Parts: sequence; structure tokens; C-alpha cells
Amino acid sequence: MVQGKNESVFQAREDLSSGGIIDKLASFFEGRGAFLFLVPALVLIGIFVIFPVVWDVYISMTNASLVGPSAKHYIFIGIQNYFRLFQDFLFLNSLKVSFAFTILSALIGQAILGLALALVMRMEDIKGKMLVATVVFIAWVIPEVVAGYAWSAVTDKQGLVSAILSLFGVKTEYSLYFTHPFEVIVVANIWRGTAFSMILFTAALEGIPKYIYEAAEVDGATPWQRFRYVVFPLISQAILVDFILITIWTFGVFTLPYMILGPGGGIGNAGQLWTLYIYFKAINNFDIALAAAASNVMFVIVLALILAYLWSMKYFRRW
Amino acid sequence: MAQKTGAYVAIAFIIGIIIGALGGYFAAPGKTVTTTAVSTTTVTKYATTTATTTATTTATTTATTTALKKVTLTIEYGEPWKDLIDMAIPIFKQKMRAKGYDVTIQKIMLPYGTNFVSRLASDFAAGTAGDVVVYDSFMTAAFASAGYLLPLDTYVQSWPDWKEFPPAMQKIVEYKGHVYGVMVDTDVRMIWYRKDIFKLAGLPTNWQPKTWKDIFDAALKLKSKASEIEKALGINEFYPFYIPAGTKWGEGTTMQGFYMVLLGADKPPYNRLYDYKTDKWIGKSTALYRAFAFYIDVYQKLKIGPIQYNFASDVWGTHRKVFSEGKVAMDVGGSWEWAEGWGPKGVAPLKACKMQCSGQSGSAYDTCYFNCEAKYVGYAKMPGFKGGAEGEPKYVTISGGWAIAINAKIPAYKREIAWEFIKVVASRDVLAKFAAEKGKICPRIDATQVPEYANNAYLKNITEYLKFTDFRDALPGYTKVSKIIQQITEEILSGTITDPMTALNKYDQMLKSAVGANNVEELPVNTEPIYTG
Repeated sequence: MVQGKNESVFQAREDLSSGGIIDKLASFFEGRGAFLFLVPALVLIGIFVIFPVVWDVYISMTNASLVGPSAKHYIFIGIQNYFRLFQDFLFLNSLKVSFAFTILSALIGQAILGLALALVMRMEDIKGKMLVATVVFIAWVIPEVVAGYAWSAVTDKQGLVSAILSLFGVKTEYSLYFTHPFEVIVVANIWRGTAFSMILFTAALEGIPKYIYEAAEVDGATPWQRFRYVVFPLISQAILVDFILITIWTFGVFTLPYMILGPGGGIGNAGQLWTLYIYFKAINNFDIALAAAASNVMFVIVLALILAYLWSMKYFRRW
Repeated sequence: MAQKTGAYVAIAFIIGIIIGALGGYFAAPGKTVTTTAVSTTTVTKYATTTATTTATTTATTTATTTALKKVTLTIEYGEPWKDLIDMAIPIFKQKMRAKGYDVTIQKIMLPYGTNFVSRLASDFAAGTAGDVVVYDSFMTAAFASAGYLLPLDTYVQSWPDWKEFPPAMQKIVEYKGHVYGVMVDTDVRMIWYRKDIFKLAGLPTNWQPKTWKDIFDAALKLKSKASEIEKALGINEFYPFYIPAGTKWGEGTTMQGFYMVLLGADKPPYNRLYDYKTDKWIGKSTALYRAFAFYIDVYQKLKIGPIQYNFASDVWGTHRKVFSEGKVAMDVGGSWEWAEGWGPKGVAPLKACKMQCSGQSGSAYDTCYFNCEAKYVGYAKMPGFKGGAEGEPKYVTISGGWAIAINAKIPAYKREIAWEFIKVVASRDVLAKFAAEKGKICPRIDATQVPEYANNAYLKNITEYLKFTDFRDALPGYTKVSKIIQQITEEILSGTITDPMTALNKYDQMLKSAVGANNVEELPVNTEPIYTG
């Protein structure tokens, strides 16, 4: 390997001395100039990822607004917005709502349902499993705006859920998204996101050689024991990856709850996730500085969660 | 060797991308507008050899020998002003051709259901707003102070039509002595009511409440007859009285709802959000107390209002639909609803009138429909608390309206062209015809010279309201105050706040934190209940 490299460098030197401009360029790109290939990607990341983050931190320390005099001339006010943020009952409420939403809809709902469905998909002689898989996939592939409208229609006073409930003699006086905004977005998000966990777990299960199951079966393990001592340890990495990804996504979910509940998050702000809160502050209240502060806090919390996951991954490996 | 070939390919690839990107950039005809609702009307390339033009198109014949200068003008407006813009575009294009320009209009039409104010604010902030914008006039101070709007002083001064706009209509678009827009429509607000439902409940079909008590009495009577009304109309829910509340309505809550109550809640100047003598926002007052009490009575104590409609996905569409279906008997709303809400081409036309006039078409259908609408839909002036007995206004209404303005970031060479467009939009015939068609009040005095407008009986009636109309306290900071009102009324809807004093204290506290305690004053509060049955 080392020899090969030396050879190519040697060749490049020779080419350089021998002349042609194209040859020289080629040698350059072969050697240290290779990093130039990264430049377009780095420029794009710089413009679309790093700059907005830095700008966001800066804006969160000003009194910038979307309209009014402070849209034109804003001044540096230090960390005042962060103080304002933690005094705002709506923000604290949105923190609570977001955590509950992520735990219930993603970590419990999507992951467990996804795992269950993946296990069912592996079972032989179960009829209609392709149909179930198709339905789950449809929920995942339709645009979020459509899904949001569909859920407001389904949970409307004259929607499907009310119609089903009325069959059992339960009369709904109001629309469900109105009386139970939080529950509606939790269920809608489980419905929407389960497919991803299912795919991930199906792939992980596919990776387990069949003879391991057979060996466990021969050893007399019950189905639960097979799951607990064979399947679970083997897919624990996949579970963690799933947890990391769905946590990030669910914390960032915006369109679906926005379509169902609007930026206020429904009655009593019961479904106002912090993504909705940020939108509400920035676009409805024109207070972009406070919204920027809120999104930075969100970034720190999500980062902490992911680091915690990565740490636990190490632990799981030992286990 | 293979490595070297790879490097050649990579070099060629990078050079290709750079050339492609540069080519794409310079070949693009103009700024690309990234929005969901963009449609482009392109002028057909104006041929330079059209010497055979007929005598009727005199304007087009003037520019036959020289090539026209190509200009693209972007217009951003909400769907309610679609017809106005569409009416103006051909006239404007023809006018511009005569002046040697071939103007392509790029339309950014924000569809119904969009929060126009928020959308425009973010477009301005992002630098993607149109060259010419139609905006809600209460945002004049907020947009102008942000440097988003071009001052139009020199333009309006040399425009003879400017004097046709009455002082109030000139004042709305002014900020710190400069004019920033031209009003394209104005409005008044009232209580819409369903005559057929009133009849069913034994209430007069020609109804005009004189006090707030009259409203509550009528609403309670309707409530007591709810099941009969539901049966007669074939509906499954019924609410007597709807006044906008909560954050979903946005500015609608403050303008359509809260101001209509506040202005009649006490004698002037204590019936406002702002005290112009002390230059402070009012944190506590009898008027504010009574206004919150009104909302609490409607939504919590008497339970005569539909809480959930204030949380619908599309609150505007819902309020129009439920009134049209008879699920709401009284609706505090704007004068445009006569046509835009439940008119023949409105968002939610009345089913009965559609059926009744189904045999007809065109203007005969419209006439038939409006005659029918007058039998079903009535409108009454919003009374003051005790109808003037305590010095408060006898009747109240409030006017706003939308204005057309120029984006401050427009390139200098387009300014004149944008102003020409505004002149066409705000010209007498265009504005008057649009107003008559939409049942809106025309902001120009000379609109009455246009037959379509002058012969409209409905517009004639509501023009009466202009005599006692009022305006918002649209100073910088108003948007923040308005948001607080939306928040507090939402808490009333959700039942978090159930008594007016709590609402008032919370308002005062939120107001102080939003505009600074130094800018807030507290007036004495009379806590007498507003309705005792």
C-alpha cells in the first residue's frame, strides 16, 4: 500500500517535470489537491448549515423583529431573550408537550408498533400481512400536509371517529382535535411514523441467521425466551439507531401537528409542540429573536439526548 | 494510469459544473419567485410590424416601430383581491405599451386560508415579497418602520386622484407624516343575523339591538329554541352568537371581535387600547373589563357561542360556512361578507338561494340571488353597552381595509412602473366596479359616479355606518397588543380564565412585559356585571 502511494507520488513528480498542464493538474488532484473535491460540499454546508446556526445564535441575542423599527435596526441585548423564554409559560408548556409527545408517539408508539409489525412480517403463514405492510407504507409516503388534513377530517365532529363512536352510542359533542388536541397528534404521529421503525427492524431481523432460531428452538426456548435472549440482543443496536433517529425527527415534527391544530396547538395550547411555539413566536408574533433563542435551546436539548443515546450504545455493546 | 484517467474526468466534471452554473445564472430572465402559488401571465411578444391595427385599439398603434423595453413586475396579493388585480392588469399593460414598455406581470397570489399578514411579513423579512403588495392597512406603521415600504409622497402629490380619497382613508396609510400606500377597499363591521332563524324563534326579522342586553336576550331566546331550529333546518348543532376569539383568528379576533365590544364599552376616550393624551397603552379600564366580561358571558357563562369554531383549521372558511348553514344565528363580522362570504360567488353561498335561482344564469342569477339573500340575511349595528346611556357611543363599528404599496427594495428603474400599476388599480372605475361586485365599500368619494356602485342598495345602506366608524390604534407596538388580546380571549375559550378581573390582570401584566411598564397606564375599573339576565 505504502509502496503504491510512493509510486504514484513519484509518477506525479515525473509528470510535473515532464510538462503538460493537464498532467500537472491531474497530479495535483491526485495528491494534496484532493481536498478540493470537498470544497463544493464544504461551501454548501457552510452556507446552509453552519452560517444559519451562527446567525441564529447571533439573532437570539438581539431584539430583532420581523416588523417594526427593530426589523430595520436591531441591537445586541445579550442573553435577555433566554431569560424571557424561561419566564414564558407558553415555552415551558411547549417543552413539556414536546417531551410527552416524543416519548408517547415515537419511543413507545412507533418503536413498539414498528417492532411488532416487523416480527409479524417475519412470521410465515399469516394472511394479509402484505396488505398491512402496504397500509403502513402509505401512511409514510403520503405528503404530510395531506396527512394533516386527513387527520383533521377523521377527527372532526362529523368525521370517521365520531361516526364509529356513534355506532356504540357515544355521542361526541365536539370535534376530537378540539377536545383532545394532544392525543390526536400523538395517534396521528404514530400512524405516520411506524413504517420507518418497521423497515429498520425488518432489516435487522433479516440479518439474524435462521439457524440461530432453530438452535434456540431445539434447545427448548419458548417464543418469549427466543425473543428476549436471541432476537432482542441481536437487534439492540438497531433499536438504538431507531431511537436516535425517531427522537430527532419527532422533536422536529412540524407539518402534521400544524395542519391539525394550527400554530397555537389547539385549545389551552395542549398540543403546542416547541416547533409550533417557535413558528407561533416568529411568524404570528413577529418575534424572531425569541424564536431563535427557543430553537437554540431545542438544539442543545436534542444534542444532549443524542449524546445520551450514543453513550448508552456503548453500554449496550458490553451487555 | 487508471488514477490519472479518474483525475481527468474529475477536472472535466468540475469545469462542467462551473460553466453550467454560470450559464444558468446569467441565462435566467429574472428573479425566480419561490412560492407555492405563482402563476405567470406573459405578454405575447409585441411585434414591431403591426401596422394593420384597427382604429379601436389606438393605444397599441403608437409603438409600432421601436422595440419595447421588457420589464417584469411582481404583484403579491391575497385571493380576495384577485378580481381587482385581474381587472387592472390588461388596462395597465396597454397603458405601458403606449409608454414603450412590455411588462410581464408575475402574480404571487396567496390563497384563501393563508394568514396574509404573517405571510407578507415573512416575505418582506426574507426579501422575497413582490414589487407591489396589497397589505392590511393596520400594518402600515409596522411595515413602514421596518423599512419595507417605499414612501409615496412625491407620487401622490402629483396625482390628481389623491384628493378623491377622504382624509380618513389618507390617514390610515400614513406613518410619521409620510404616505406609504393607497387604500383599495375599506369596510365596516356589524352583527349579521339570520332572518329565517329569528322568525323561527319568534324574534323580529327586522332586528336592531339597542344595548348589549338586547343581544344577550335574543341569544338566550334562540338558545331555548335550539332543538326546534336544528330540526327545522336539518342541522345537528346550533349556536346563537359568534364573535371571533383566540389566536387562530389572528388580527380578526381583535378587529372583528374585541374592538366591536371595546368601543361601545365606555365613553370616549376611555373606550380604546391607547390613551392619546398620555401617550400610553391602557392596561386597566372599565371598557377593557367589560369587553372581557362580554367574551366570558358569551363563551363561558351563558354558553351561547361556538367555542370550537375558533379552533377550526380554517376559521374564516368555517365562520362563513356555519352561518350559511344556519348553525350560527348571529355573527359579528365585516361588511364584505354580503358578497364574499354568503354572496352568489362567495365562499359559502346560501343553499336555499342557490336552489331558488338555479334556473337563471349570469347577472340575472346574481340579481335573483341577492334578492333572495336579503330575505335570509339581515345586518344590525353593534350597539354600545347601554346604548349611549352612560355616554358611550350609541352604535359602534370599526373600519380597516387593504392598501396597495410598493416594496422599498424595488429597483429604481421599476418604481415609476409600479406606481403606474397602483394608479390603474386605484383608479375610479376599477375600484368602484370591484367594490360593487364584492359588496365592499370603495375608499374613493367619486365611486358614486360609477353606476354599478351607485345602484347597489346594500352598499348604500352600509355607507351609513361610515358616519360613526372608528379606527384601530395602529401605532408601532399595536401588533403586540393585538396578540395579547388574542391570547387572553383564547384562554377564555379554553376555560382557563373564567372571570373578567383575572382576564384584566393578565392583560395588564402581559401588556407591561410587551411594551414596557412605563408605557402602560391603569384607569379606574367599574366591576359591575354586564348582564344579569
